[in-house]
Amino acid sequence: MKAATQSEIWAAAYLDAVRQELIDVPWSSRTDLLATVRERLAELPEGMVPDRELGPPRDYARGLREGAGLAPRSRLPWALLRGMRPRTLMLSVAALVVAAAFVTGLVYRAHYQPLSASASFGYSNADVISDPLVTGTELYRYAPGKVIVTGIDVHNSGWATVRVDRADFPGTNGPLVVRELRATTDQNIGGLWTRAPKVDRVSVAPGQTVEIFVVMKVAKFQLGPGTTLTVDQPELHTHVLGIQHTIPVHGNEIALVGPDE
Amino acid sequence: MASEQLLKGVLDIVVLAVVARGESYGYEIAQQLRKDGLEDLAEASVYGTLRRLEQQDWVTSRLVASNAGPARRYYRTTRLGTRALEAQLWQWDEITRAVETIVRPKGTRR
Repeated sequence: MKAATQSEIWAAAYLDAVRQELIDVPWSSRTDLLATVRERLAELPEGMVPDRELGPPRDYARGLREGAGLAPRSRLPWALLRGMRPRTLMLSVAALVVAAAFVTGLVYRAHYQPLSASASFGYSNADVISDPLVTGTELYRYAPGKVIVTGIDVHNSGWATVRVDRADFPGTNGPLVVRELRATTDQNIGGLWTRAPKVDRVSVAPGQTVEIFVVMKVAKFQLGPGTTLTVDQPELHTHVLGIQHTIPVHGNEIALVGPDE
Repeated sequence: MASEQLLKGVLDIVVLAVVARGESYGYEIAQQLRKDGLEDLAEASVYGTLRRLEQQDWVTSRLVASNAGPARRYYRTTRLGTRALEAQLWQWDEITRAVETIVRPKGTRR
């Protein structure tokens, strides 16, 4: 490969400097104008510094603008956009659209949660306390080791399968400990939760409704006479589109009532 | 010495007029204009004007190979350019006559 001469290096630098001065000129006009500069530079005698013969690039570019009837240099963003090569502009716009779509996709993916869960059934082998004055709460007599079961209707209204990995209560050392999950798609199972098979996790397909039974045991702790401890329904830990979520279960609260005074 | 602003207004007509004398290239046109009295003329503005005139189809260009150096772009007027020059010259005469009358009324001419 032939090494560039000093004159060629000067010419290239001069041309580049003029190009920078014309950066806001529409690409096709700039290309035409730069072609005349290139031709003129090629005419310079070997060893001639372009600045000496043609003047500073800024002045030369101004002369080209004036002669071509172009507006003075603008540094506004839209002027720079106008000066971009159409192909470059299109590629830039396409890249922006792709980037925006990618970010939108990421945000959508991060927030996509089509599952709804509502407690529809409650059971316990502990004493159930009936109090007509209390609504929205299931009252059970506190008895360590007793079982409390919540039946949850889980419906997937989206387009992607959601996996329910587990159910638990926020924090630790609560009064209720989740022992197992059972699940069935049989909507007529009613309260026969023992018929539902034990599962480690449950996949809920789009449009599908699954009944999940969360089997909990009452932990041993101090609950004084006449005291009531209320807890929310357990949360469901789900996995969809590679993202983990925790969703609340809507429905009655669970309350453990201490021994009578 | 012609001012820059005045020069801008007459660039089309003077460049077109020089090209109309015969096929010529940018640097030669600029040199000719300077020799004819427009010493302050920026060479780049001649190239810019030539590019614009070519866009308007008033001049046409071709690259001519040279044994001595790089190829040169030669310009010549088109039929449209010749007509445009005639029209511009007529307008120029009208304007200069009017300006002369205004700025130097009869009896005050130097």
